[in-house]
Amino acid sequence: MDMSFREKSAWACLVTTGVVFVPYFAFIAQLASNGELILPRVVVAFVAAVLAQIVLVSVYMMVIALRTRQEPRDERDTAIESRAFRWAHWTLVIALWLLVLGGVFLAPVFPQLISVVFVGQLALLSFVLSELVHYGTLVHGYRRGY
Amino acid sequence: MPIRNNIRKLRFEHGELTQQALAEKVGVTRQTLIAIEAAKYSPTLELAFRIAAIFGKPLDEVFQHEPE
Repeated sequence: MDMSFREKSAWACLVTTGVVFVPYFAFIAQLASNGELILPRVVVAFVAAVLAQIVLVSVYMMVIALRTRQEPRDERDTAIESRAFRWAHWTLVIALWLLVLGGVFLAPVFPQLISVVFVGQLALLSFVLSELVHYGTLVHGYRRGY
Repeated sequence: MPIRNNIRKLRFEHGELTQQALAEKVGVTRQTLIAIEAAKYSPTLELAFRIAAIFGKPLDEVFQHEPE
C-alpha cells in the first residue's frame, strides 16, 4: 500500500488507541461488574494506558518518520481532516448527551451505578470513541481518495 | 459529481513527467495527484488551474465534467 506520512500517522493513532483503550475499558468493565470501581485502581489503569499509548505512538511515529518522506499538508489532507474533525465532534456531542440523558433517567433506577468514577469513565469512553472516529475517518478518507 | 481528466495522457505527452514531479510542481503530495488522476478526488479550482498551467492547456482540455 502506497501511503503518505499523514495516512501512516492516522493508522498509527487509530491502531494504538484501539490496542490500548479496548483492553483498558474491558478492565474497567470488569472492575465495575465486580463492584471494585474505586478511584486508585482506575487512576493506576488510566496512567498505565496513557503511558502505553505515548510509548507506542512515539515508537511508531519514529519508524514512520525514518521510512517515509514528510510533505507539507495539501488541500486533500485539509479536506480529509475537516471531515474527520466534523465526525469526531458529532460523535463526542452525541455520546456526551447520551451520558447526560442516561444519567438523568437511569440514576433513579440504578443508583448504585452512579458514582463520580463511573460517570468519569463514561465521559472518557466518549472522548476515546470520538478519537477512534476521528482517526477512522482519516484512514477511510485516505483509502478512498477523499 | 465526477470530474474526468486527461492528466495521465498529458504527463506522457510532456516527456513522461512522473506523478512525483508533477505533484511537486503543483505543490501537492504524490498520493493526492494519484487520487486526482484516478478521479477519486476533485481538486479545487486553484489546483486545477495550476495543473492545467503546467501542461500549457486550457482547463477544459485537462478536466471534463461528466454528468451523472
